[in-house]
Amino acid sequence: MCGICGIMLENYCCYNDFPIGSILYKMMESQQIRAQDSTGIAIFNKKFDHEFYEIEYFKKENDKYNRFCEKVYPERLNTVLYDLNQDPNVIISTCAKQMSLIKDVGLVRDLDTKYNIRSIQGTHGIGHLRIATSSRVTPDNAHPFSTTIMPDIAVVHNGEIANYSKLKSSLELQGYHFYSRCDSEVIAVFIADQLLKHNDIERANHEFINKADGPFTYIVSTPNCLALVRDRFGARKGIFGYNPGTRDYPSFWAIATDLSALDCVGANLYVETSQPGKPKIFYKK
Amino acid sequence: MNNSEKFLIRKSILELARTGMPRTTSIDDDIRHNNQNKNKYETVNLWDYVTTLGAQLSRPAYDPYRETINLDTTIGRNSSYNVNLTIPLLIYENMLFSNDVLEAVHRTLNRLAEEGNVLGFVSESEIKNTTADKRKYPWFKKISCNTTAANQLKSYQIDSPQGIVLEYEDHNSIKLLKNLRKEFGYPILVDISNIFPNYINEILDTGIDGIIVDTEKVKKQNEIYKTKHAIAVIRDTRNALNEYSKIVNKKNRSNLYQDCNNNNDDDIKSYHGSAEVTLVIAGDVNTTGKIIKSVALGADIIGYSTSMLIAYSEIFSDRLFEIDFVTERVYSHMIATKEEIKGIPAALGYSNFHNLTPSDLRTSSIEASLQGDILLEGVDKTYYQIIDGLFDEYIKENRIQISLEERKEILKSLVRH
Amino acid sequence: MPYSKDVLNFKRNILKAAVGASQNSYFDQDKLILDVRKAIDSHVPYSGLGARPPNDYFPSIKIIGARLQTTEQDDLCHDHHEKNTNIDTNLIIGGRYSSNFILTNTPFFVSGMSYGSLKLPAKIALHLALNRLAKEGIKVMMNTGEGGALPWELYGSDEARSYVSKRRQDNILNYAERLLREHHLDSIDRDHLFCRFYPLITQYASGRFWRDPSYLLNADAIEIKIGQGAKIGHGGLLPGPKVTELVAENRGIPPYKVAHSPSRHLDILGPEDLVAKILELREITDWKIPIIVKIGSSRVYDDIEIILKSYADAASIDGLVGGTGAAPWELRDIIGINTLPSLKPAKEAIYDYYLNHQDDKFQLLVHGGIWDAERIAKCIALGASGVGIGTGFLLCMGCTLVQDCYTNMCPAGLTGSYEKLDIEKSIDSIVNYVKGTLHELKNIARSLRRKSIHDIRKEDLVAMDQLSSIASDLPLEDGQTYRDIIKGRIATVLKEKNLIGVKTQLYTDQFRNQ
Repeated sequence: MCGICGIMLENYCCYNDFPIGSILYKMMESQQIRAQDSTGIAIFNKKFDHEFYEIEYFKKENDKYNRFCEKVYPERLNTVLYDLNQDPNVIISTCAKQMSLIKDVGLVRDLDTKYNIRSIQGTHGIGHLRIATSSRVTPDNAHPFSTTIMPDIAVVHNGEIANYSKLKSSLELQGYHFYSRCDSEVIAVFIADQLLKHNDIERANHEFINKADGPFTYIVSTPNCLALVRDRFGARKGIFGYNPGTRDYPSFWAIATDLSALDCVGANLYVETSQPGKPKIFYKK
Repeated sequence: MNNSEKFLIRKSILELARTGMPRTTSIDDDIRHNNQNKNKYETVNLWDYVTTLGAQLSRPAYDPYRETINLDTTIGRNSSYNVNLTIPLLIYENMLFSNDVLEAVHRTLNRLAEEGNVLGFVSESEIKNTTADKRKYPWFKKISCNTTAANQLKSYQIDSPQGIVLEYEDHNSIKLLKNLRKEFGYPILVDISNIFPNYINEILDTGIDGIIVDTEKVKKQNEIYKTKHAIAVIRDTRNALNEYSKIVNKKNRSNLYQDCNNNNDDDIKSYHGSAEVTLVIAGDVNTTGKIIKSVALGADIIGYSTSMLIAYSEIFSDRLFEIDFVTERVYSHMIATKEEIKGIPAALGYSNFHNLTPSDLRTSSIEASLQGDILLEGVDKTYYQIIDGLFDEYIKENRIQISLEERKEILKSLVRH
Repeated sequence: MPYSKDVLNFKRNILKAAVGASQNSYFDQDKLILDVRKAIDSHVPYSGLGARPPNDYFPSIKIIGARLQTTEQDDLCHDHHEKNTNIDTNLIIGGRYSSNFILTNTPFFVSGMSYGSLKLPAKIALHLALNRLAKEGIKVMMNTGEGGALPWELYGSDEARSYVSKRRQDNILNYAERLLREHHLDSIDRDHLFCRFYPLITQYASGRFWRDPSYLLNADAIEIKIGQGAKIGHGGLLPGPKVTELVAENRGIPPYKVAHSPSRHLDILGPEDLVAKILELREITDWKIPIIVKIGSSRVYDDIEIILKSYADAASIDGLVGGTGAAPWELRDIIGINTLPSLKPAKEAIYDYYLNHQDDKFQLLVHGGIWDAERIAKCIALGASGVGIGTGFLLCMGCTLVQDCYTNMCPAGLTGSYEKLDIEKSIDSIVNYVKGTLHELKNIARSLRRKSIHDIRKEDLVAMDQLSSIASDLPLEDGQTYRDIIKGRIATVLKEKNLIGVKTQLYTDQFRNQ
């Protein structure tokens, strides 16, 4: 795990068409030298919201990962998910309505060449650069991670969840399906499970901070908010800053691991370190 | 390297250091030769063949001297009150304890509890102390099935223990347990060493909070475990408890589903309680290394008897009656053990002691890998997984059709060799 | 701290009891002593040197046809002109990202043993011995260990001294004088001492025990120590009584207080931090000096994978049996895996990395329980580039393996000041040890008809039991691998159950053909 970044536009209604993908791209490029295994982004835009769900998955065939995409109407969702879950070679990476999640191995500029991420518009989004610590370098182990429990939730993570297997088994006992071997996936499933129970993002994050062990800083994003969370010891960095914007350029909050990433997009007002053990939530206005 | 190997190594290197010329035999030749003449009946302690993986780059270590490591354990899943221990040890009273020694233990436990180090104590009767020092630590009253239920119910109401430990004998114990559960609001632990590994689910269904397994007792009374090691006992118990969890969770989920359909907003957690049964392992776990390995294999709390410690004091037999001397010794021992128990999970990358898992263990013995389902060093597979993989290869290469039951049977007989 | 009187009494009593005990009673003396130490000292008991696992794999592996002493036959089989010379035993470190590299004449080197845990006489003996060997044409590398470098190691040449101010030079000489005086070593020839002809690796550990930038700049290589095999996840440890005033001055810490290094580098919490740290060191040293990263053997595959991506030149793994000056007893014994099984995942990580990247010179160094030429040859055959030896050098200086290194009461005078170490004799012993081991290595290569020690391969090794075969992926003496043996057993069991399948297959074939 390595560099995480996040952007939240302050007044999205005026800048609904703003390509925040380009800001995320800039932040990730500035940190690229430290982590070059894989990369990914997730951007939210209400305009994406269709009647149908977009399900993207990888299918593993002889060490190659082929990407597939299906548009599924709500009535068929459960059946489609059930069928896909039966195939052990299928790894579902997104189940989304308002979210565009793209991830792959390689550098961020390769991701841009392939998927044109710099032009993606939206109100808020997250990005990630990965250097593998304990699972293999494959597209399904890249961040952001999502889950099929509820749509439009994405997590990028810097650190290691030491008691990952315990959390995973207790969630599996509740019937949830895991797709990758990466410990960051458990954050997405855990938070989604909590939101289903009480829909309070702050409480969900507090629960995770109490239950999880190991160093971590993560950003979890839903259609309404971004939450930056650091573990109790503050072992991994997490800072945020504000760019007041200009007449043609929107104002936004930016989250990053390193100060240089905030500097390169001009988000150097009100720069603060996120408090360990206390989630910092940015709501969409 | 044991002492004889140390001698061989020194001899060989000193020869090189003296002459500067090549030797006739290498250290490995000498050790191999030495092993041939070794006592074949030397007992092999499988504990020594198991190690843990430390935290470094892929997972950073915590610093026990500068960061807090959590050792808290809660006993109680269906009881109205819980017992919270801040060191995961239950001290067992032992027949060797004289009254003076008991008094010393009581004083130590009080002193530790005052400082925030709460351990539990298990004995038949409360320590009747001479200093009228109120008990500040949780006491678990040990009861047996022989005396009639009525008498027992009365007696623990008078003594007011924080928990009960029952030694399971036979089916009458089930009825007793059900009664106890109704009457007693504190945690109930059942020692199932006598009937292990049978009837676990039935016993758990009575609503008790935890089970105690004494590996030494199990090895004595069970034919299968006689030839096995404590590792096997702990692993099998944890597997049984995990199976039980699955069953309970399934029931809870289906009940939850029914309730969602019935729009029932009541507290849905009350079905069979949560499945968090406390597992206490006792017997042959008497060093910090073994405590860590047992917890990694699945134990929650360790039954620790300071009897051995006191027995060593036999060697200081002239001072055994000095209560202050014994108190000081037991206290020091506990403080040092607590520091060790904190230090090791931190070095493994956990800030909570109970997050140790079996995948943190590695072994350098095929026997230990089979008995405890532990991964082998360097290959990161258990021996069973290696055999399983090769079996798959073989039947694919030879195009053999085989049913699942036959496969299980064959794998079992393969590992028995 | 030395054993207290109570513990000594107990030890005496327990030995008496053991003598009288019958054959059947099993006396776990170590456990009893541990318990009593906890009961009397009230803190975690320490121990010195390495863990003693019951199985450390090396004796279960053999090199086919290798001999430590060669005969005339072997010499005749070689080209007549090459007799007795020119078996390549060199080790080169660096060159992957660094512009300089270190060339040594032996594939083994002195592992890091810090000043503080090792007393001055032992460090001086090693220094002078390596100087003498270098002058005779055998360059052996030495690692300073965690406690900083001694003044003659860093400023061992006029050139090195010329880069610092006169005042600083005087300070350095002054400090050296005080060191020698404290250990009653005034008689040592200063010119003899203040030179260094061998390559020096300085260790960059979590305690950051040095106060001089030349620690990094005058080094021939820098080793970032993430962990060591003896106490993985636990920082360096020096008990209070051993932190004398001079040790404290060398490290920059208060004297007579136990020195607990942090469990991790406070600025290296994960892979990207390691990358940032190495890039920083590269800048400071102008990309000239090789950088090695040392880890204990734990999650070897994952850690080596990270090191490969972090711009380091070499990785160094330290097995469970690696020694240390002081470590908490239980922690030392139960954390880590053995040296030999950790070579396989390390090689796998390197192989998998180079499937997707261009091959460059990445070296793998190994430490932990390797004492003599045969073990060195086995490690090289299994894929190591070089081998570090620590306890081996202590043994030839007189170590008796009592494991009391942390108490200041070393009976050989190596880690304690109560006994006096005979420096001249130690120097002779070390020189003999290195020469003898080198000679044995050459003989092993010669007896296998190889021109270089690095040409010994996995194919020259066999395992003696199933476990070693699994851990190192070697065949057994009869040529079968563990896979063949297990498949053989599978075939037997299937035959017994009449499930061998041939019958079934034929039957279905018959049906199909009809």
